[in-house]
Amino acid sequence: MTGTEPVIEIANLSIAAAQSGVTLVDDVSLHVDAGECLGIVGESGSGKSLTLRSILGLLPPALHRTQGTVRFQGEKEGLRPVEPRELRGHGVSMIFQEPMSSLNPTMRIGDLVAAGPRARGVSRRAAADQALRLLAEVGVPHPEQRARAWPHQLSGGLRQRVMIAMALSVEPRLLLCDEPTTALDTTVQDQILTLVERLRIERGLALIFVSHDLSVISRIADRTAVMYAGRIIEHGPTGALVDSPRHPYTRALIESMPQLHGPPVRLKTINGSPPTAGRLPPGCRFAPRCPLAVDACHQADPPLLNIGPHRATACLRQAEMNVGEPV
Amino acid sequence: MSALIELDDIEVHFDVKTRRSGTPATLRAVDGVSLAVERSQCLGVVGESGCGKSTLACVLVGLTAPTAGRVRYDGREIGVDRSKDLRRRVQMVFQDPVASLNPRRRVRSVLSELIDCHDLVPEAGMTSALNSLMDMVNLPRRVLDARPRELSGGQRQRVAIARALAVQPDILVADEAVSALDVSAQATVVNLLADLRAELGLTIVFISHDLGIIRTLCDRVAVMYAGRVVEEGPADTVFASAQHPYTRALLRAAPDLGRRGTGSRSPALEGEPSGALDVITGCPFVSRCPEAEAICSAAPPAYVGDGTHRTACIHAAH
Amino acid sequence: MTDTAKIAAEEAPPARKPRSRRRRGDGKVAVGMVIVGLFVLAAVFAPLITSGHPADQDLLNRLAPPSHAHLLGTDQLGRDEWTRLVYAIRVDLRVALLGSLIPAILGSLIGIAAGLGSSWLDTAIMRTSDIVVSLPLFIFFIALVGLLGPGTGFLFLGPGELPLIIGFTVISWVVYARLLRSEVRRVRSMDYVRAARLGGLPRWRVIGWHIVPNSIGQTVVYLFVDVGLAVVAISTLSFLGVGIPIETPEWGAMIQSGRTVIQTNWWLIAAPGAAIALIGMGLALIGDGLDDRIKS
Repeated sequence: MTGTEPVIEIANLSIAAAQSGVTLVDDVSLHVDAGECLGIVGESGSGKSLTLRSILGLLPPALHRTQGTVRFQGEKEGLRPVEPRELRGHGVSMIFQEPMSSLNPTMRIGDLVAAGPRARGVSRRAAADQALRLLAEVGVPHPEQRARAWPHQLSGGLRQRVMIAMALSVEPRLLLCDEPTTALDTTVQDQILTLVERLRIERGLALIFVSHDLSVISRIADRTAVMYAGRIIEHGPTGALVDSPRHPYTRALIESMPQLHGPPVRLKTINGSPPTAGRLPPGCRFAPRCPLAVDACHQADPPLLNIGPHRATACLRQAEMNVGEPV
Repeated sequence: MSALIELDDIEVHFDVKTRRSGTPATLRAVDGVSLAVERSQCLGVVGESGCGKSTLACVLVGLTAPTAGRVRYDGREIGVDRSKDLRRRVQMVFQDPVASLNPRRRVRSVLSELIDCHDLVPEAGMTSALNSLMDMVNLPRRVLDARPRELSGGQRQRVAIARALAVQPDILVADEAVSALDVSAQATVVNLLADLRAELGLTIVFISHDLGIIRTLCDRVAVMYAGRVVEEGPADTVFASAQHPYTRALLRAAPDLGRRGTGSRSPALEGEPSGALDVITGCPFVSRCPEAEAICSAAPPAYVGDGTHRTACIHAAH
Repeated sequence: MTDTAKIAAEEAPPARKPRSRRRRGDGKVAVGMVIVGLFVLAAVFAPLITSGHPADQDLLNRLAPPSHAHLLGTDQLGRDEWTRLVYAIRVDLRVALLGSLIPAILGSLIGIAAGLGSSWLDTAIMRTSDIVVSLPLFIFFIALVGLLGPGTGFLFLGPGELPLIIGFTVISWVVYARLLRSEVRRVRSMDYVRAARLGGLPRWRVIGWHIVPNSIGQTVVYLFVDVGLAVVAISTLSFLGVGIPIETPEWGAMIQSGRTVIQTNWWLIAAPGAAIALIGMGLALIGDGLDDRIKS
């Protein structure tokens, strides 16, 4: 928490399917400060990727934003409302899960990275030099040789580094990360996470990091938002959130993950499966699966309420969730 | 105790042409692997993509013929052309929940055709056999009349397990069987496998890249790198005091809730596995190993250790 | 198993998501079926909806304009155009259907053999199909049909029909063989096929129940489009004077004979032309809709 003005602030974002009107992301608000990393964790279908993609207007054609504002702090002016289009290539970049499909296979690595600066009017020579510097910065060995390589000649880890170099080439203030390490091997994932951390510190980048894996998020994020069925259901500093979750879903998520330390224990499971969008239960979305649910939980969806400094949860029974005591 | 299934110096080499020059080369998917699994044991095989763990699974079930080495089941040597009865005893659960079920067939017909094929139950007992299979994998019986596309990923994987169990196997080979699932579905399938082992005495070979799941489920673990087993031993010993530098790096690189925190640190391991096309004279890990010495690239290191825990590294302290 | 057992009781199979593409596909199939169905009904009940025989001449009433007695008027020989148009459905659809179905079955069997057989068999089949593809097909087709001559018909086939069907078979099995070969090779490496093999199922059962049913989708889609293309090909050829004899009620032949009076009796060309276009559209809609269904 740097205490500065946020780089980006999203308020009351909702996303729905254009045809059926089914809401997929419901009233999501979040903000990120400079040099800070916000993690968003959730299972498939929780709306975490849609939230991230909507910032740059990269929603699938059948979906659209039904409400919400995005305010972004440019280099000179303060926080002001922006359209997604204005952010592309100007202050916000994004990296994806599958680097191969995000790299144009008909362009050499050096040209791919130089394309950003070229589009901003940098001369061919200067852009090529800048590309080499960026490739070196993201840890591509022998950048001069690699700049002449084609995307298919690189390993998965190197492709991801190239994608990060491309993202950096527009001098972003905010980097959006959509599961960038999910397809990678354990040791390569570790390298990429280390690289992203280093860039955040050296460049003062703000990060939003989306993953289905809470252990990855816990490694990289200062603050974490947990999404379930299109809503943020808990939010707080990562350490506090993992140590003493204040929403039963967060706790169930933690207890269902295998641990590398401590005595091996049988995994806890969550009853049932997440609700399908458009067929949400009447009250709290997690209530049908929740071990703590009472009658009131089935009546109305509880709002996300602050329960302390920087902590919020959307649970009526959060007071009963005593720290560290399993039910 | 004698091993139920045994791999003896298995090699799987593929002849390929290199992309650039088209010169023939040899892809060493599996390069001299020996492993033994005892009855009712759960062996975890862990490694990164391209280390040969999936090829090893195919050798175990008889989908891929090894270019050298022997597979022994209960002391008898078995190859790819197995008798129907022998084939039935080693079953597999695949990674992709979508590709692993025939989209045009209902669950009931897939299961009953397998039971029929082996005459495992009389015609009159089919319904109860199918119902008990569903109970075994904790699925409601109405799933029998569902088509795969009506099922969630976790349900599909449980149907795939039921299909493997339908022929009453002794050994279940699970190749990344939970990797494509969400965390909560993953936990139910992992618990299911643990229960099946306890209740049916099933022998399990669990192949995964996820160290945490291996630790939860398995009592032995084999770590593979570049087609070879670099360390093998009881899971608790390997996780508590890993001997091979690669095992240690894997453990350090794996994200873990119990050891979080941001801040700059150096990655556990630099570089990526070299391609399986390269000819390796010494230790396959030498190019990335932080402890490598000159002698490491000269010859492949022999296994050191006692009868239960072995490591292919000159630095291993047993 | 207490914790997992509880899930079983509560977990319902998730409801299928609304699939707009599937619905659109079903709509296309329905429209296509109505169009094609009307043609088939007309062909079956031709005597009920027409008057007289398509060859009946009325030389006193040549080139009559549409009237109550002759819905689409009469041609140069005073034959009722509507009657000929309806009876022509029998000829065109019969030849097109057989000319597509026979190569489809033959080519599919060859494709399955290539996809599942030894690499030697595969190579032999694929090289043969390369040769067929490299031939100048239309010239070859015309030459073949001309060489065989119209003949006097065969079983239930009229004059000129058998040579056309043979011609279609010789050239279009290749498409089906290639299509099914690549599909079979894709499907046979799917995990459910490997699981069926591991389960010890006999080979024919794995092929018949797991590989083929999942491989033929695109073939069925193409078959519908192919029937439409065959109708066009048949009428084009008889327009050129190849294949079906000119006196037969057949759309291409009707266009050919109406060509000379296009200035005065344009409907003699427009009616069979519209029929060709309509049946082609109906078949293409069915194929397209099935494709949507498969891909949704």
